Amino acid sequence: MSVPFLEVLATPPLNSVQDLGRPGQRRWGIGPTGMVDGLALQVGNALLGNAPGAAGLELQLFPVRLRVLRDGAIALTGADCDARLDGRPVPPWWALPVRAGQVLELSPPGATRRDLAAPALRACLSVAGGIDVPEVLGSRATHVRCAFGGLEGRALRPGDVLAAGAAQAPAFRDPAGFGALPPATALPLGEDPQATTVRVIPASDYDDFTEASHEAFWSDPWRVTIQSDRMGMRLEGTTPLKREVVQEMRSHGIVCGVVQVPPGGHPIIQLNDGNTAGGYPKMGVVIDPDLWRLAQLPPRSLLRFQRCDLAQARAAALEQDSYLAGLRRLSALSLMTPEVA
Amino acid sequence: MTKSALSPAQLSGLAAQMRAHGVTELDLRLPGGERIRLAAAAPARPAPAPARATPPARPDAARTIPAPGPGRLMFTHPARTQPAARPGDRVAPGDIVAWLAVESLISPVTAPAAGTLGDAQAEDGALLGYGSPVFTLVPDDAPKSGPTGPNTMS
Repeated sequence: MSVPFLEVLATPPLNSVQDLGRPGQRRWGIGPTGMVDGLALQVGNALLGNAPGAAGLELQLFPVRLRVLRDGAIALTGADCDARLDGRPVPPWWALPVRAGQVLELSPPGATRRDLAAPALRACLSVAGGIDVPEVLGSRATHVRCAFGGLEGRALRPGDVLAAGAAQAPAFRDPAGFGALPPATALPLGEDPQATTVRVIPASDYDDFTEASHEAFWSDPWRVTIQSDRMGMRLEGTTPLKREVVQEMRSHGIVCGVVQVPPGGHPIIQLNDGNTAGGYPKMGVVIDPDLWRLAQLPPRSLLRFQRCDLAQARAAALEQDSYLAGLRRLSALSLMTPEVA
Repeated sequence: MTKSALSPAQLSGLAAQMRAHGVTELDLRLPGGERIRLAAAAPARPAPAPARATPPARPDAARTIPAPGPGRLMFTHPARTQPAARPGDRVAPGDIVAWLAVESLISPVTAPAAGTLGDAQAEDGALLGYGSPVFTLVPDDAPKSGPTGPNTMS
């Protein structure tokens, strides 16, 4: 049974209900959507003892204010938004009990505090039991462009009331809650403190690019441009990437994380709301376990590509699985889930 | 399930809590269905006179903020670069003043009462056990004994 749990008091556009997405529908031209920082959602769900794919709110524009309608529990993961619950600070990557009537407020990352240790763009709010909206094609993710999924197929608006699926909220050993070691700390990557590093497997058109392009791709920092959203990230570098022979290509299926190179030579990385097919040559693919790192990159931040192979990608996925499994195991000890003996 | 759901650090924390509270036997049922029994060994040292059942030094407890369990002490949240609280800060009951990390889980160290934070009692990154002092605290209702400042109060 789901019950009204949160009321949206204030939100800018572009914030929506998301889960881990809608895979397997590309053949109908339906992209995956889902939380861009899927790891943040999984961490929030692990802290609350939810199913890994329980739906939450993806918050990418602020300020956001929400009123709690019933006693329960929430987790805030992803971007550090200097959250306040009735004025009291809530640490980032944190789960805590909430009471009916309390108001949660999130500020733009970095606006109210200047001491963020990592780039921060998108926050994730998880609730005990998950946000309850009808499933469409097996997912609760909002597909804004197609206007289905999530809450009425659209972004959140002030006045919206969101239900949670929890029958019974977990009890916390400590009312102050508990948290997770952030992924950036638990799963560090890269040598350049000024840039975020992601691992990339070369794609089918890699060999068509010039040697200078290969060199620039792996060794230059790439700047995230303002033309970036849930569809994709446009990057800007000092050396445009060029092919030896420029020839027209047919459109082919593309996936989240694919690094395409349009004629201008500045790469685009497709994200969760990206197209299902495209005709630009593909330089590489950001491995799935590193997609969350892209999700937190605001415009003007720097990105580096680190070459990797399938075995290394598998190892990265296992490392992430083990981080989540550890959180799940330890969180269960910090919650007093009422159990019938 | 082949591996215990409790890490050695958690087991030692439980053992420390048992010792602190005089519990001799603990029977835990974990959410996964696993069951753990802990029994205290016979006291190695002569037990102190049991007649005086006064809890250990209550007035002192009011002047330190203890670790709520075992873990690695962090004054600064890993997602941030500034500490949660500094000596001299005013705190309200329940305010988070530091964190303890056990593997990938972070627990809060909270102020038990309103007051002013005194000096830190442990190093950043130190491995603490249950009840280890983290900060001194001068509670608001503490009798003003002479000059201000936590160092003058022994």
